[in-house]
Amino acid sequence: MRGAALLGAALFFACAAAPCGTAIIPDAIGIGDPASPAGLNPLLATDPYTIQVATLLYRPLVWIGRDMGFDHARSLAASVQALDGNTRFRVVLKPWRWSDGAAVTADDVLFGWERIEKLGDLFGAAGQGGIPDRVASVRAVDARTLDFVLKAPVNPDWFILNGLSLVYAFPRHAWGDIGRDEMWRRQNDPALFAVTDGPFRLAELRPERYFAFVPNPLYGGHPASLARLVVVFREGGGALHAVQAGEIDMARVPYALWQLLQGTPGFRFYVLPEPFGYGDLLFNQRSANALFLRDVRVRQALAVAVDQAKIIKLAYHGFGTENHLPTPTEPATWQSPSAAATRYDPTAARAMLEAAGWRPGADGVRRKAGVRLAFSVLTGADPDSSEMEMLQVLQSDFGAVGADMRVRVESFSQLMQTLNAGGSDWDAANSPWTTPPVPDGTGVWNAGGGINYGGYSDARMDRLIEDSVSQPGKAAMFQYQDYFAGQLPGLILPQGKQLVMAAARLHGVEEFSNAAGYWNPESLSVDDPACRGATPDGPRR
Amino acid sequence: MGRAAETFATLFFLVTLTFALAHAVPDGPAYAILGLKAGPDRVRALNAQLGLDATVWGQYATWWWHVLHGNLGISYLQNRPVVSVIGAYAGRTAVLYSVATGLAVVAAMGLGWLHGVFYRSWPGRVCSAIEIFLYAMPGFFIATVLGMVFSSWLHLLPAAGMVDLHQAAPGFGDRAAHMVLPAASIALFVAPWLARIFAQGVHEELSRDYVRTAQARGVGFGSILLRHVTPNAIRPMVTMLGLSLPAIFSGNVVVESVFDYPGIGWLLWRSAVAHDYPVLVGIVLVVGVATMLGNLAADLVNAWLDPRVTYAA
Repeated sequence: MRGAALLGAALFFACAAAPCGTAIIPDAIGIGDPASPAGLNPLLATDPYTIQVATLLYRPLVWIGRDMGFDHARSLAASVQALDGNTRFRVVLKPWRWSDGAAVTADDVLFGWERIEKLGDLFGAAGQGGIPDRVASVRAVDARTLDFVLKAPVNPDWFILNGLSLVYAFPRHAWGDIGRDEMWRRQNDPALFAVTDGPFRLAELRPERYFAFVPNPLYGGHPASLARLVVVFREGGGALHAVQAGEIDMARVPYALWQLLQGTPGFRFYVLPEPFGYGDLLFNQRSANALFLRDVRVRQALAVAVDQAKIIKLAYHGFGTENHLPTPTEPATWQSPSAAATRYDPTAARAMLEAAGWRPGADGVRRKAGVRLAFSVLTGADPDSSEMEMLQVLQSDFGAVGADMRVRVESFSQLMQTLNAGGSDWDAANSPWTTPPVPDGTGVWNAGGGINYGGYSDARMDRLIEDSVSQPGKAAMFQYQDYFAGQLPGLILPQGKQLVMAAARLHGVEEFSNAAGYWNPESLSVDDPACRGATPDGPRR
Repeated sequence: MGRAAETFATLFFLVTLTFALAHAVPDGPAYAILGLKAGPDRVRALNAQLGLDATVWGQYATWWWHVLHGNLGISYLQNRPVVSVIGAYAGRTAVLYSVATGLAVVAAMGLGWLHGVFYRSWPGRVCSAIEIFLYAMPGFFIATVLGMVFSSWLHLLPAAGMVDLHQAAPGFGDRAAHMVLPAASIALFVAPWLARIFAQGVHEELSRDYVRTAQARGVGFGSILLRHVTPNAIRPMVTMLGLSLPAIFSGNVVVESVFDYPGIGWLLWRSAVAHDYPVLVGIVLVVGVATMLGNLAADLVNAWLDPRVTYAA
């Protein structure tokens, strides 16, 4: 009895202890290359960096956990229930409070939903998870309950994980009737983001430089251990240099430097999951120069010509996973176990090209009816990046079976403009893609999809993709992938894991980031003499 | 009238050219902002939001209309008025370059005196060799070496930023420490050519009749050097400093980037990379005006140093 009382008292004081210490992290941790967050409004975010900082302030109805599933502990929603044949989703909110003490209500979620509708095409994640187009209406049932009524039945996993993870509560009492233009204009205005329901509040905002956050004492979830979290933007290798100089506490490490830096005193090293997505070599079905890329036999031959193990070894120094499907491998929750295996076999690739009528020319490049099996790959990768090393491996592998691949480098924004133009002046493009938690192919591989840059169009693929988002379970998702594995509108390539170097004083790095790049900064704490015994987890090592 | 009209015509041409070149680049800011999610619908919506759906010349006319009303537009990246963005970054650059210029002038005068006085003998030759050696060093090389030695190896000085972000309220000492390496890099880059100009002036002045006369009257060499030679020899250096004001305002992109110092050079580079046209064109306008004022300031200081110098309006 006495022991229980002591334990209770200890827990009380531990939980009541003040947050302590400062951690400085670059914004590239978790996903992608360094870039500066555009602002703090999660609805306007089109990049993971903005989402990362915005979700420190606002938590969506559904938080994606490290297993890429519904993380109930960190979500605003206490529960989500699919009703009426998956056409109605009842969301019950947790009894959270805004940082100014007001209750977070269903009306605040409704207000957030209305902001999504007001933004229209400026809503950064428009289309993902059926938001907002597949939703017929959103109704507040009571102060903490809402109903999302859909126009047609959907795959509940897809709607909950892809859709409801995009819906936030915003403080109607603090924001007023803010419209599209004002939201855009004030996406960096600290005054607009003063009232939050997430684990942090904004302390200081220096656009393009750094954002500083302090804990929100009224946050309804697990409280932050840190007294201050600073997210800095460091271009290129600046973050690595800064972490070594002790100016920041965490940085990504290039694959080539990983072994060299091991054992550096005062640091710990972490291998974090690959970004939730996949790399691909997207074939342009409209290419005037490489009409042969429309021939599925050529695409299949090119797929088996690629030695993914060599890519992982040379470009990612062993830190990667082979992948042949348009779904992530880590975690492989949505990877179809029944898809036809694509194995590296250059002999088979040559035979497949022979069978398709492509004969070796005098220069080693195959020809058919006077056409050379030659194409270029458009990329926005930096010359010294792992992606460029991967393209060199591809060049070598394709060359070995008689295909001549050239690399065409453009700046990233030029690349995006070229892809958007929908022209016939490019043959293939290389780009890494991040996918939503349920990695459906909507928008990417369906005809007329917003980012179906290659113009791939196949009625059966369209139907399978639609099935994957409208039918419950994984079966339809697997069928889509199985068909994709035969069609190969793009050649799926491996991605590299993320290598991170962090100051030894920083703890909780493994739990900090998930594969989607979402941050759990509540997990971070620092080993500061002033903090010993002051954090909820007790003394730090 | 002639000089003023010329200056304004140059400014107008410079801004127009920058505006045209910035918009001539085939890709626009929408692609940089939206990234991989830059589908056609979203690009169209963003361009409409940013006012980029109008013709280039329509945007150009709107831009001048806003400039005439004291408005340089809104930064696409920071969503703040360009005037306040440039003001914040220019302020930091002005502080950095004031410190760096002070250091450079002191170093240049010390080296220049020694070089000028011993122009033909070995101390002068050693000074000349030092000047040429430093002058030949690219700015990024000097900055990188200083950062490597004093920050990474010796851990004496911070290598990047303006303050230690671990501190919630950084003090003056912390800010000063962060400025040492960028200021020293700029000073080491600027001082050699200032020293050569000053040394040449000292050497020429020392051979003039008034110096011999003063020596004949028994005036000490130190007094001659400080009171008579230096004011005359310093004028070309002042002119050069005035002409370098644009560099002060546009910043040294390399040094500010190496040390991650958020000055106007850093901003210029970021704006160019991210197609933040309003900021880019705003910086060109500000630098143009600074050039104009720099030339004017150099003329005024020269006229003050030598009353024989007069300039047409």
